[in-house]
Order: sequence, then structure tokens, then C-alpha cells
Amino acid sequence: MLKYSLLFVFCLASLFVRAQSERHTVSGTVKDAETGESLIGANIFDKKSQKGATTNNYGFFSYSTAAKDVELVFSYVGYDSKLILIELKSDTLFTVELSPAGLLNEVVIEAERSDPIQTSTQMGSINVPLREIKNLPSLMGEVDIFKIIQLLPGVQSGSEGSSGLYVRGGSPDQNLILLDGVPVYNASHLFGFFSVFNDGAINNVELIKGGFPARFGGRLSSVIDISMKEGNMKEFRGEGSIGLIASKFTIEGPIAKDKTSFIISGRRTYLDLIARPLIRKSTDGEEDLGYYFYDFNAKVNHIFNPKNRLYLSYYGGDDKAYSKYESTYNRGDGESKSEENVGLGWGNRIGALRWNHVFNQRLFANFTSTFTQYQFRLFSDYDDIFTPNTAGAKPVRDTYYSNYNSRIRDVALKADFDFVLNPSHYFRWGGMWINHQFAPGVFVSKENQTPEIREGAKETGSQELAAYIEDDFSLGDRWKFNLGMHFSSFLTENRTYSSFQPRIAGRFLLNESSSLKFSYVEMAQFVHLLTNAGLGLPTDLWVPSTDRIRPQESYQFSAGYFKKIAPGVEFSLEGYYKEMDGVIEYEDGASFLNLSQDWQDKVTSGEGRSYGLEVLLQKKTGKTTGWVGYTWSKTERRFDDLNFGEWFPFRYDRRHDISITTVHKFSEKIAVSGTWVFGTGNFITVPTQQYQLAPSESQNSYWNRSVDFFESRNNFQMRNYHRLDLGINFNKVKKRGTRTWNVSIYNVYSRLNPFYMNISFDYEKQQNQLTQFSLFPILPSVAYRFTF
Amino acid sequence: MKNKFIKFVLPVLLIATFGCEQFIEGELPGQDPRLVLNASLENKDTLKVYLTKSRGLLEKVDPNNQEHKILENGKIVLKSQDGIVYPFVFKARSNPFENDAHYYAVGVDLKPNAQYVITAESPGFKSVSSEVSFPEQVLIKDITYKRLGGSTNSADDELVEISVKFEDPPGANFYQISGFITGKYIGSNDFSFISTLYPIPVNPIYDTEFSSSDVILFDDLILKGKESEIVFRTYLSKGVEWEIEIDFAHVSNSYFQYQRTSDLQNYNQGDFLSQPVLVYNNIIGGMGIFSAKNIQRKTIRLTIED
Repeated sequence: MLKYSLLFVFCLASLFVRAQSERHTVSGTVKDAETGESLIGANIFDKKSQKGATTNNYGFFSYSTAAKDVELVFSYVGYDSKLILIELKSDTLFTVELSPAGLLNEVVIEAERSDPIQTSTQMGSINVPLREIKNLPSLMGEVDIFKIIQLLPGVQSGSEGSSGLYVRGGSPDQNLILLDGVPVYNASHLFGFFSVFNDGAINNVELIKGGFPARFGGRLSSVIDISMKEGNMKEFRGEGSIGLIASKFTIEGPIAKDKTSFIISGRRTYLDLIARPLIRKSTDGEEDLGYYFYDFNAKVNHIFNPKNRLYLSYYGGDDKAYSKYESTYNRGDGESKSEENVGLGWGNRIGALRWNHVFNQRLFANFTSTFTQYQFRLFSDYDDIFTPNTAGAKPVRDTYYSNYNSRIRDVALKADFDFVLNPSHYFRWGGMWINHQFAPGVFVSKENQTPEIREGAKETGSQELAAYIEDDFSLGDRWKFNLGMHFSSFLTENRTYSSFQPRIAGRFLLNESSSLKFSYVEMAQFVHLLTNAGLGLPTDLWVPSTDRIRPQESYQFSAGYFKKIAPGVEFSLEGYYKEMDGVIEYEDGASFLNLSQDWQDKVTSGEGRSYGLEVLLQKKTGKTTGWVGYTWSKTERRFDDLNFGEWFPFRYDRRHDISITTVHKFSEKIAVSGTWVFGTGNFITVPTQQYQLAPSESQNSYWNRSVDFFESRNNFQMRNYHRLDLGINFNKVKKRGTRTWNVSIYNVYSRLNPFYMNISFDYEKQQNQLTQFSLFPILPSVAYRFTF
Repeated sequence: MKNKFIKFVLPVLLIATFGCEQFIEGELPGQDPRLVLNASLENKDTLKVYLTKSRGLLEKVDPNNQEHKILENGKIVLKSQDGIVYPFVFKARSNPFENDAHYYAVGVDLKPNAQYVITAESPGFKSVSSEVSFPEQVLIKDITYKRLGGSTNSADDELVEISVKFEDPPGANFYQISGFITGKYIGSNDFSFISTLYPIPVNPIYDTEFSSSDVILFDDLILKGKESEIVFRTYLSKGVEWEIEIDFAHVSNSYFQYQRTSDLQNYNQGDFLSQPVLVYNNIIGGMGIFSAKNIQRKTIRLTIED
């Protein structure tokens, strides 16, 4: 029914399309005057017609009008506005450059960038400008995009310190994390404590948690759209930081001025390098162990002409933990020399080649080919050579290796079109093809000359196809809609799943400063993350929908009130209701280490529901900026094969979630910041009682066997989580850039927040006790940052 | 300046070093003991019921006696759907080797597909109850066996395949195969072999890793309609005259669920990477299981020469 309604509204919309013959179009690109970077979401406003446009993800805009002349104001938060008067005799294509405004005008967080909160149809969307988050307190000196996103209403963190995101009751696998339009399958370093995104290489981050436009698909709960910097077109620039655990460096500049630019950015931790001499000394040089992560971003872009531009971007990052042990042992009858390497590693490789083409003043296109791969590996390699003392005796060699490997790899082709019919209609359409390759857990081992043993799942391939169309249009001055349809199809070995997903969003302007918005979206997801503890561990397996495991589907309805209270001060209140179907969980008793069992036999499909209310009050400009966010929500899951078919709370069902974030700039030299977060405790499953096992034929000595009694799945709520972080930045402007010292204190009052809990037996007291493990007490850190 | 530095830094370092583990006392809810009723309706002369109390997981336990406390002053009653009430009587342990003190009732008339309600009370506890339908007897239509020759495990053993044919009634049904074997060396009058039957299902779907090896518990999801069979194998020593008692039981859903989940929980004890297992419980207000099984026993005899 809904699909027919949508078709009807599309037809209705077409009635409003007026004749275009006498219209002229102004189009082009809005850029940063200093760097040549495209400005995403910049606002273009015609003072005469009181209408306008917004730049897309590549800085492109198009505005058409029947008027003979226009007065266009180009604005972008943090930049000086520019007024351009144009007499329209024909279609016009040009580039507008905006200069950054003074430091004190910066914002901490903005919604819809320059587009006022109450005017757009998009809801549940927040833009996170990276320049500003550097002022906030950091963990161990590392600024992390995901940790900032966790402070927004509707987004919940997982466990202490982790960078996992749980958006509106969804699981981490339901977040579509895009880096330059390419999905990132595991966005975590250091077991989830940091995200893989190096802020030095990132230009823009946008979070969408509801009211998804039709151009996005493939995940149920959120879109985190991250754009890498393009590289400075004007001059060579650089920035870097030295922190307690990691350092990073970024350099960018023109290869051919205003034509071709590049950016290269790298980050690496160095705890292993510091500890190596100490470890080798304490083990007489026999042992070497450590852990590190690194990531590397690179991008080149070339402007052929105003209508054609090419981008090539790459990301590579790995986490590695290793132990190398070498020893020589004299057994008496000979000498044994052994070498053992044990380790684990995981990482992503991402590449994208993109061609922007402006067909004409109104039609902009984007053709992309992408590659993404996430791989986890756990290995052990042992080699021992025994050389007997006996003359003429041959050395005896003993070898063993094992390797556990899981991987997901996608190759995709994509085409997206933006067509600006007139200021009242903005059409987007496109299509995508993805070739997925899954290897969810393969174990290989070999001992000496014996044949190699392979266990676990076989590698499988799947094809995914998607197409979409959407129109963002106005009906009069008060009503604005975004209507769209997303179609996707997934081809497994023996079965094809197809899904039509309507997307509807509407806005009713109450007055100049406030509006009501609503949205209804349906989503489908064909890949699942098989997770053992919901922590976002690297061992989590990406698996496809199969003949037996159906895709995940959801629908979400949301509505809200949006108000601009004063210049730079905005308020929003949003409510949502979401239902999910096809979510998967490990069955009772299943273990991911059991390789003899097919993963499909270890999981069960079920449903979920989540509803909540989100409040956000933010001050975006002035010396003091920040926001207060509050979320009330409830999230549950139900599986036929779990908890005897009854609903149970989701592990991250958090009834109350509060975050307060503020930055105060005393001067251009000193800024202080603080964040305080509160969340009701996570749920875990723990036994509460023990009781006598019933006798049966199969248990002969039953009398001493007990049953652990669980009230239900996720029956126990851990303690509430709260934490205060403080930070101070000392900035100094030097001849060749700025130098900043950042001092942060994480968890100022050293709250022992629960990381996990278990029941352990105290032999002294002869009784069980509940034990809570916390990760981070108070953690001060210092980081030094510089730009040149 | 140095003193100030030490005063500031030292407490921070101490907190950072020792602040990561914390024992929380008395925060686990639901620690009050409850009645535990373990009862199974079976087509036997005497029905046994076990009434104990649960203990909170944080309760102190005597390391020398970790048995669950048997409640002797309980009142247990079984009521049939036509209103007949059967009270249970307590029987204490009579000697050190009889460790299963229990409540019993004799002469209970169990009718197929009839509902039975059991209630139990004990001073200081909330009373508990449960309900089960006594399954009809599913008759064994035929038992056949074939000898598969020598075993790869031992030259002294032979593998024997046994097939039990039966009629699977309409609806969801659950079954259990168990048994007992006795054997005499050929020519001898004395029983030299007395053991539980260890049936190995031929269809691997019934061969769950976690289940006890002395029963096959299965449902009728993949049985081929009315005419069904379960095929299993077992190892038998050569040179012996064997007598195999096969118990084929039509069991209640509660029996099936309880055995499955309790076996799985037991199998996963100590594996912190595995998911928790909730053991099936149908006792309202308490814990335990009220199940039913209708058993039919058949015996086959075979001689396996050397």
C-alpha cells in the first residue's frame, strides 16, 4: 500500500514541475579559498527569490530561476559569507571560494551545516566538523571521531573505552560506515578503544540515524558518511601530533596548482618500540613481544576541467600483536634450537577511484569503483631443530604451524546522479553492484610432513544489486518532502532476496524559526556480523544472508520538533519507533571457536524493537559552545530459540543516556573543555541461583550435579556508567603555523565503571562473589600538535 | 616544587595502578531460595518426586557437603484432569548408598493424553505448580538388527546396527532411546557383561556433541511421516550371547527441552567464550522440571561368535 502511495506522490510532484524553457541555471563548486577543498553542505541563498540550494558531497551546487538577475549569498559555518550579483542571460558555471572566519566564530557541532535546523527535510542527522573536536578532552591524547559521535543523543557507546556505536537500539553491524563512499567493515583499533579514522586525513563526518534518504542502503540503523580531505590545491601544508601512545603526521599540497593535489597521512602507536629493549633485556634477548597499530591514508585528485574531476583514495590499517621466542637448549645428547612466532592481526584495505562529471548545468554525476577488505588472522609457527652430538647423525627437525583466518572482501561499481530541476525539485538516482567474498573462519594446520588440515567454513561469494531514486521537493512555503525508493537484491548460491524500501520524510514549517518533521523508512541488510560478546572484537565474523539465514529488515518511524532558539542556538526533540527482523545471535551454548560446526548451525534469527525520545540543545557559536543531549530509550530482542521465545532486553538497552559537552575559549591562546556522560548500565546474563538437577537415565550420578539458574537472557543490569573528562588547550601561533599543547584528564573523579562482570569463587571465603572489572580509572594525558 | 609534584602525581599513579578490579557484595538480585521440584510421570508402579531448595549463587557453601538441601516436610499432590488426587509420601535415605531421598506415590493411573497438575508446598517457601500431558504410548512395530562386521576400534568388538520402527502420531512428538545390555560368554551360565547401552545414531543430526552418550533424544521434525524408524549402532564384544533391552519412550516436550538444555549447560561449563545456556524450567513459582514419558521396553537377543 505504502509503495502505491509513494508512486502517487511522485506523480503528484510531477504536476508541480513547471516549464523550464525560460529558466537559467547557475551552477558550480564552492571551495575553501585557502586550501581549495570542496565545502560540503554550503548554503546558497537567493535574496531576491528567498530560495536557494546546498552543495553536495563534492561541493557542487545548481540553482535555476526564471528571474533575470539573482543576488546569491554563499555561506558556510566558520567561513565569511560572500554575496554575488549575477545578471542571467544564459546558464552560468563558476567556482566560489570562501575564506575561513576568525577563530572565535568556530562552532563545536552543527546540524545540517549552514542549513538551519528547522528548514531541511532531513532529520536524525548531525554533522561533526573535525577542526573543532580537537578542543575536546581525549583518551590518551588521541582524538577520536567515534568517541565524539558517542556523545550525541540516540548513539550509545558499548563498553568502557570502546568506540562501538549502538544507534537507536541497533547493533554495530547495522551502521553503514563509509569512507569516501566505501564501506568500512571493522572501524576499530586496539580491540575497539580507538576508531580507524585519523582525524588529520578527514574532511567531513556526517551521522544519519533516521529518516534515511533513498541514496543510502544496506544497513538498518545508521549511516556514518566520512569524507577524506582532497589535498590542498594552493600550497603545501602539514599537521601532526605527538601523543602518549601514538603520533601522526599529515602532509598535503598541490602537484599542479589548482589542478592536481595530494594528501598523505599516517599514524602509528609506539608502545611496542618503547617496551622492546626492556623486554629483550629481561629475557636475555630470547623473547620479543608487543602490540601496535597503524593506519595510512592517501588521496590524489585531478581537475581535468570544470566538468571533469578524478579522485583516487586509499586507506590501509592494521593492528598487530606478536610474540617471538628464540631459544637454544643443550639437552646433553645434542643441541636444540627452537623458534616460535605467535600473533594475531587484523586490518582494513580500502580503495576508491571516482570520476565526477558535470553533464550540464543541472546534472551532476559520480562514477565510482571501490574495493574494501577486512581480514583477521591468528597464527602460530613453531620450528625446532635438534642437532645430535653423535658424529654423522642427522639433525631432526620438528615443525608446526596453524593459521586461523577470516575475511570479507567487496568489489563494487557505483553510479550516482544529481539533477536539480529547479529550486523546488532536487532529484537523485543511481545504482550499485557489489561482489562480496566471505571467508568466515578458516583454520589450517600442519605438523611436520603430515598433510595439511583445513577446518571451518568455505569461502562463498554473493552479488548485491541496488538502485534508488529520490526527490527533495517543496509544496508551497511550509511543506517540504523527500520521497524516495531504494531497491536492493542479494543473490546467494541458491536463493535471491529482493527488497523495495520506501523512504518518506516531510517538514512542516510552523514559523520562521521552528518546524515539525516526520519520516518513515524501510531498510534491508544482507550481511550480518556474528559477534561473541558484542564488544566489536576483531574475531567477530562477517557472514552473508544464505538460504537458511534471511536478511535483516527494519522499518522506522520518527517525528520531531525543531527550533532555532537564537542565532547559533538550536533545540530538537525527536521520537522514534523501530522494528527489526532477521537479526542474528549465537544460539545458547554456541562458541565461535568450535570450527567443526558450520556457523549457520550456531546462530538463530529473531526480531528486535526499539523506541525512544531524544533531546538535543546546542550552542554553536560564541566563546562558549557545546551541547546537552538526553536520550530515553528501550530496546529488546526476541528469538524463537533463545530465552524460550520471550522478549529480553538488548545488551545495550540504556534507559537514560545523558551527555554534556562544552568548550570555552578564554582567548585565542587558551581553551578549556569538559564532557560528562551518564548511561544506565548494560545488561549481561549471569546465573543467580543453583539448584538440583533432575535424575534421568543419562545421568547416573546426578545428585551432585547442579543447574545454574538464569532468570532470563540479559537478566542483570550492571552499574550505571558516568564519567567526567576535562581538557585544556594552549595554542600558540608561530610564523609557520600553530603549536598546541593539549592536556586531558579522562575520568577525572576516577569512577570505576563496569567493563565486564563475572562470578568467581573465593576459596578463602568458600563462596562465590560478583566481580566487576573496570578498565580506566583517572587517566591524564598530554599531546602536542602542530601545523605548518 | 618537587614536593608538590610528588603530592599530585603519586595519588594519580596509585589510583591508575590499583583501580581496575572491584568485588561487589550483595548486588546480585534474586538470591532468596525457592522450591525446586523435579518430577517425571512414567508408566511405572511407583512415581518418584524430588523436592529440594535452590541456593543463591552468592550463598556460602560447606565445601564438604555441596548437596542441595532436601525438604522433608513438603506437601506434594498430583491431580488428574478428572479430579483424582494422588498425595506423595516422603521417604528418607535408608542407608548411605541410597542418596536419593524422595517423595513417592503408588498406583497412579496415568491416562494417555490426559493433563496432570502437580503442586508442592513447604513451610517458608512460595508454593509451586506445574502441568504436563502424559504422552500416549507409541508402539514399537518392529526391531531388526544387522551385524556390520569387525570394529576398527578393537579387534574384539563387532559393530551392530539396530533399527526400531514405529508409527509417529500426528503433531510434534519427542522420543528417547536408551537401554541396557547383558551378556554371557558363549557356553557360560554367568553374566559377564552388564552395562548401559551406548547407542550411536546413524543419522548425524541426532548425534549432538553435548548430549550424554547413553541415550538418543530426538524429535520428529525429519521423520518421514507415519511410518518411521530410528537407526543406531553399538559395539558388542565377540564370543558373547547378548541380551539387549531397548527402552523406547514417547516423551513430553518439557522432558526433551530440559534434557537438551541441561546437557548443553553441563557440556559448556568452564568455557567462558561460549554463550550462556538457560535450562528449561516449567515450574511456576520455583525451579525444576515436570515432565512425562511413556516407555515401551523390548528385548532382542543375539550371539556374536569369535
